[in-house]
Amino acid sequence: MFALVHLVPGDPVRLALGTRFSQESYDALRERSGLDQPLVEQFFTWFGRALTGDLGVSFRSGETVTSQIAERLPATLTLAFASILVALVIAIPLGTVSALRPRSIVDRVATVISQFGISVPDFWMGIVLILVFAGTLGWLPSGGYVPISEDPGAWLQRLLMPALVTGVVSGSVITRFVRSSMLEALGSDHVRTAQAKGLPTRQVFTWHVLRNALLPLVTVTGVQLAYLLSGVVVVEIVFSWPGLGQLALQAVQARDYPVLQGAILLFAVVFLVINLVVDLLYTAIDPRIRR
Amino acid sequence: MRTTRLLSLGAVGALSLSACSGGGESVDTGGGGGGGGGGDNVLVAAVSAQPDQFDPHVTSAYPSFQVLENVYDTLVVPNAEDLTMEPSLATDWEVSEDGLTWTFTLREGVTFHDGSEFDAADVVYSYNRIIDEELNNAYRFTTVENVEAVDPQTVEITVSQPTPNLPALIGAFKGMSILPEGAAEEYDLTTEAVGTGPFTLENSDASSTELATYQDYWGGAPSIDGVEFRYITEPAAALTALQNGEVQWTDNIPPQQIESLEGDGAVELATTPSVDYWYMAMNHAREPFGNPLVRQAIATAVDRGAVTEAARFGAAQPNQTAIPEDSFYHYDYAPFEPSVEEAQALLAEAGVQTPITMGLMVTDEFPETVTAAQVIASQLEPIGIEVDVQTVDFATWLDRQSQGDFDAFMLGWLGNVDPFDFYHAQHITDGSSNYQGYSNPQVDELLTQASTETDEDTRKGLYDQAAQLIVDDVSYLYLYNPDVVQAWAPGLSGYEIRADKAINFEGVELP
Repeated sequence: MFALVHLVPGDPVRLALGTRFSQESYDALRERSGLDQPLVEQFFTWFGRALTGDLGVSFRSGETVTSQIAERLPATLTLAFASILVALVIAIPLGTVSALRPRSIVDRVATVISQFGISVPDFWMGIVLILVFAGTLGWLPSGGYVPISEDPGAWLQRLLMPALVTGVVSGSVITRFVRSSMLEALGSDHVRTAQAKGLPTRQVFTWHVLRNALLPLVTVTGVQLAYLLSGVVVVEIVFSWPGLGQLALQAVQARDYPVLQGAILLFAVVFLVINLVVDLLYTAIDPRIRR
Repeated sequence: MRTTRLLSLGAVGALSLSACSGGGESVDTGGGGGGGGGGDNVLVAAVSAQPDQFDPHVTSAYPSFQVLENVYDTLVVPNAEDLTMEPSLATDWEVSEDGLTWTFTLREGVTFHDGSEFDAADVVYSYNRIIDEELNNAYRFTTVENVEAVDPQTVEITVSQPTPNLPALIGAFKGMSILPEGAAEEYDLTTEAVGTGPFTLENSDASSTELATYQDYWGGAPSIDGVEFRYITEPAAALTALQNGEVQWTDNIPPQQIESLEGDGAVELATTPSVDYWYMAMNHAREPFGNPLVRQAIATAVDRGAVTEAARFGAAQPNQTAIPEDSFYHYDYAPFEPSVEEAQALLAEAGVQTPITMGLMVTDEFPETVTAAQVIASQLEPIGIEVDVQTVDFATWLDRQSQGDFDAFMLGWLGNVDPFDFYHAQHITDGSSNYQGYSNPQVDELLTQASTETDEDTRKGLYDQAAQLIVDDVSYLYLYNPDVVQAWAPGLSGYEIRADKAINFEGVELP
């Protein structure tokens, strides 16, 4: 990962200096930022510090990487969990209904909606929402972020539109999984047996269909959540949402290696943790896995 | 918390001011507490990006300078009308007969935001910091040999050769700001600011940067209580925020909407030609572009009007030289008339077998270059030049430029004030910005002579001659000077749009 980040062409020193500078200024800044050291040495310095929780200092801002990430983490967590909530609220009813009545009108409408959510570009959806709800109707602010501790009302107002956009996109993906795993569960032998022995439909559905269909749902929700937690750059930009995606993008553009490495490290940890949580949930949902 | 207290202090100041003038708007000072960020009398400005940091001597980012412009001062400052230098922290300056000694008389009664007095030692400290540490702008001091405090109110700068543009070099932008002596050791200048300007830096996070009025500002405290710079990257969102009153000022306007905004009563739109210029350059070390005839053919085939229309939706002035029309140093010279036949004749004269391919390197960091390149590609096709538009990110672009790995590229030079900025390093043989590899002994001589010429009219004459040769040889293929486009809430007063894109909120009064 370290090598990859450094292998990308582009010189952070030249980017930091702008267009007019002297060779002396270039050399001085290169030395100050430690980029004149051999790559292997840079790696071990970075790695040694990272083990103690010190991710270094940003080339661009001179601030520590940990403080930059910590500053943006609340906004990212807020948006990611709100979006997953929106996604599940959309996906579970929609997926279930279309699985219960495959090829019906309801199913077709649900398919069209989820196709729409997947294929419409999120920046376009975001701008349309801004123009309608902030512009024409004037109901919501056009963007920004206010911590919930400061003003819960303002926090919610600003969260609605970005959470809706990312929620619709993730929800559309999840809907399809819900539908297919429900269909599979509905067609399985044990469900037929349950129906045959005369269990009420409701009971068949909750105990025999839903529980079995939950496994793939948890997996895909975990993947979506990990994706949302690593920052949704486009939506963050459209709604001026100060999340990790924007930070990572700026770091890539400025070749700000310390920030980029810190962000990638964090994303890797997020994936590991979510995978672990998903695995633990498996055992809770399906007792067979415990053995 | 600190923000709130300072803001309400500011509000008291504003109240007493409006009481004197017998009118004005009432300001709510009561209540205590108050929500975070933005009071009634705080200007909220939407800017497109977050400042990278606040050390004026280190940053090169425009979003940082938008803020720093209101926090720091320089010895002299470009005047809003024609960008000639006028007094700021220096009230007066003179140059010796031989042109080698500059004496600056400093303003009295100026204090920094930390309360310390401003004097000559601070100037010496600030300039020596840039020179000794080889910071970004050290190149501006190439001819400077010594900076000395003669007495607390006088600074003497000695130069190795006459440097007529010294005031422009030390005053053109806030990268040459004056810090209090020892500031870099005492403060973390990347996050703190200790200037002498009209506003103090209070707080900056991933959403906005907040400034408060500095009551002891030497120019008289601003009547607003502060400024909040809010980062809104998406132009459509910034414009919506202005239209529904969330912000009162923005420079982030969707270019395609400029025309329709001109009749919009909810928005005050202002445009002025900027001192920036955009150009295309060809690699003289690569055949056939080393041949001036080929470059002239391309310059003849390009229709600048169409390029401008596509890249900027018309919000720019086509120009065949670098310096815009409003400037004293503008040189009215436009030898190329778009013509396919003439271009083909020039290529034939050069003995070039068409079709040929030309890689044109542009960067998505500046989307207008991508659009312009596509238009140029379509204009060169009829003369048998197939343009391969190569869009890369800026870091890669800069790498390839410095390695000479290009047939042609497109970019702009921004924030030019003196003709030296416009022409010197770009066109003198082996100049630090002469990536295209241009070399013309006549141009070298004219540029060298002009760089030390102290008489303005003679200096302009020299730059005019140099410009003519540069244009004829197509060292750069100049395209246009973009307009500065800004918009604010109707009724906002005391703000002046400037050709150098300096954003100064000192005199602003809210509607």
